[in-house]
Amino acid sequence: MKRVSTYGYTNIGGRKENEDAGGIYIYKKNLVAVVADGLGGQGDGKAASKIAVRSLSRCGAQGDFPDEGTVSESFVEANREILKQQKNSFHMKTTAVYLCIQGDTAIWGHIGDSRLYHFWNGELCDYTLDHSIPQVDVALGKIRREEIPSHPRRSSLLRALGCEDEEAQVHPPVKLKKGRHGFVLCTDGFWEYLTDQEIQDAFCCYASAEAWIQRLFRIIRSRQGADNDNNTAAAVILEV
Amino acid sequence: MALTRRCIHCMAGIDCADFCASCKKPAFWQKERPCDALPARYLLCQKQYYLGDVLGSGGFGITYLAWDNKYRRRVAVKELFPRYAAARNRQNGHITASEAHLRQFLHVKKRFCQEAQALYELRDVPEIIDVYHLFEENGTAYYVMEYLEGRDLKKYIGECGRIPWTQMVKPLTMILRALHALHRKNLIHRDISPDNIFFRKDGGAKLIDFGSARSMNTDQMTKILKERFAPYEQFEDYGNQGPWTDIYSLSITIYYALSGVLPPRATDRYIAWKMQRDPFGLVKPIEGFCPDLPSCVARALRKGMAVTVEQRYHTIQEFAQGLFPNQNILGGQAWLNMSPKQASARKDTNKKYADIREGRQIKCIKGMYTGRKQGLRAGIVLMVGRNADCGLRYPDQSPGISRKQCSLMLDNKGVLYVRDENSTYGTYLDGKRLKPAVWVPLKRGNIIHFAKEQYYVL
Repeated sequence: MKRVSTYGYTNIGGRKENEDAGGIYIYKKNLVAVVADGLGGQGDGKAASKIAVRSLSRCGAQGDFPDEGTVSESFVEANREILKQQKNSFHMKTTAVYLCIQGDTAIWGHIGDSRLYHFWNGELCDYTLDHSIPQVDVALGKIRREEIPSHPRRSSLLRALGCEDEEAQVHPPVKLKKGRHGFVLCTDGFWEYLTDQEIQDAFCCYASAEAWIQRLFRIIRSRQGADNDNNTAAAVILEV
Repeated sequence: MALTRRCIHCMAGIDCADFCASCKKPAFWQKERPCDALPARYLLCQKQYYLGDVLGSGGFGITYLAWDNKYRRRVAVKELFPRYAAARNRQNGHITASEAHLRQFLHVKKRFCQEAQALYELRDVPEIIDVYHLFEENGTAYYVMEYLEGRDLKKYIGECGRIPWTQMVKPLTMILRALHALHRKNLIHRDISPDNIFFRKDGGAKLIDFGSARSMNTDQMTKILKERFAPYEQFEDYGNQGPWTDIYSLSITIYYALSGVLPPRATDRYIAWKMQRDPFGLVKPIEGFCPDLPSCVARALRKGMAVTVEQRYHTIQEFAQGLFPNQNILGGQAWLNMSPKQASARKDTNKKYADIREGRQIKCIKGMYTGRKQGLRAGIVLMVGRNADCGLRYPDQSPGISRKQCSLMLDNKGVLYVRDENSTYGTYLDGKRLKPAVWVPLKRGNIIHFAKEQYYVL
């Protein structure tokens, strides 16, 4: 891994509270990024997303690169912590997306509709599939992926942390090929205003993660309505 | 005995100074309680109900153990408290909806009361939890139910593991009867799962928790659907829900109880089935977990878990017959225990079938005429819209409804048809927009919708 650039931001949008959370953590051996979008209103979502980020950020903090089992277990642990808090805050739930990179190896996992996009040498090469009703309609060929933001049941999630039968989806570890890689982890308040092409074009145009995300944030700002959702993104660019 | 001597954990007395003689728990110890619950020893309904421990708490409300001072019995009191829409005043216990959610709160309260009323009407069904009393206080609604001793199926599986088929037979028979009674009243539970099947200490079973949780879901929050037991039609906007919906959920529940394994989500199963990757929708046959299971049970479960409505059993009677062939599970015991009211209801059912031969009905399930049934007679076309000559007429200021929205027609063979009358915003059948000026046949359970109106075909 030659050059690494990271950047993250969170914005309240037009809401009273920011229920998103995120973080980028550079440990001795691993780089970890986590983003979460809390649900539940009345402040419960905020607490849930913070717990998720805090809990998941511990995965990869010490020692070796985490394997699939370890990442899965981290989601289970994060879920346990949120469930424990639910006694008084029933609506405390959150989505989450996690990334860990060590050298030329990456692993990620997600639950809900917060996403991870992976770019390589200017092209989108992978992305997570939302755990949501619109994503099911895409799988069934009823709508196209680009139509997800305008789907009437956009907010109907199938999975989230804070549910008893939590099941995060963990991608097997990926050997990163030589070249320039970019990862964006983001909440739906971020991706709903952008097409894959726009994210990709900005990745091609800007060298640093900060410039990349700020470009995308400008696009979002130009399209947002008065009551737009919280939006959060964490980006990593690296040369392998 | 003075109420204050009554133990809040078991509602038996306290003979000793510090410990309950019945449950042995310390008298003044309090189990962990949600901070927004009413306090223990609180009195409701003109001091009739003395509250004890919290039995359950969720997004929709709180259930308390209580002592009914009038009828001298233990009860469970369910309080409507949708946390996303309301907050409690700690001084006086009142629940007040936030301004933004007031309308929702009132709607949810209405549904809560309707469900309590429906349960009350089913109080003669021994397999359904009894509701004794519905009242309003503290700005919200409460209903009082029988208190059950035992544990729900989810806890039972958690503590004891898989259940052999021989042990499932008795409780399953009771749940089938409960659903049969429910469906005959044109109600669907919609939330059958191990949480909502209660195994009593005496070996019986009861169906509990009638859909309150579901009715609390709103469009303004991101919704997490409880999808492990829900069939695919519950995920669709205008899914064709009916008794088959409960049959699916019950089949998944039985599968889980017998195998200890939860099948994949209905959405994943549906995708697999559609892509023809797996005609059985990703579910390993139950025989793999229970080789001794009677083959008729395995077959019935497979059909009960069918991904699409068309492939599934449509009625509890069919499902029961599949599970217990040549046994009158629903007809025998239920008939013997039937009260005169139920017996006369049974006669009314026969009368209903007679009516169907003469005409058909659609029922408004959402919109201006919610609850209203519209009859159709053979040979007469019913026009729906804003025009003065429409048989089902909407006011002039009805957004999204055309002057001539759609028509319904019943032919001489008893087949009902619908046709869109070139309406501006379309008429939809089970979520699909109808082609204008084309008659489309309907079957029971179809949903017709236009603008904000939804009609269920009876």
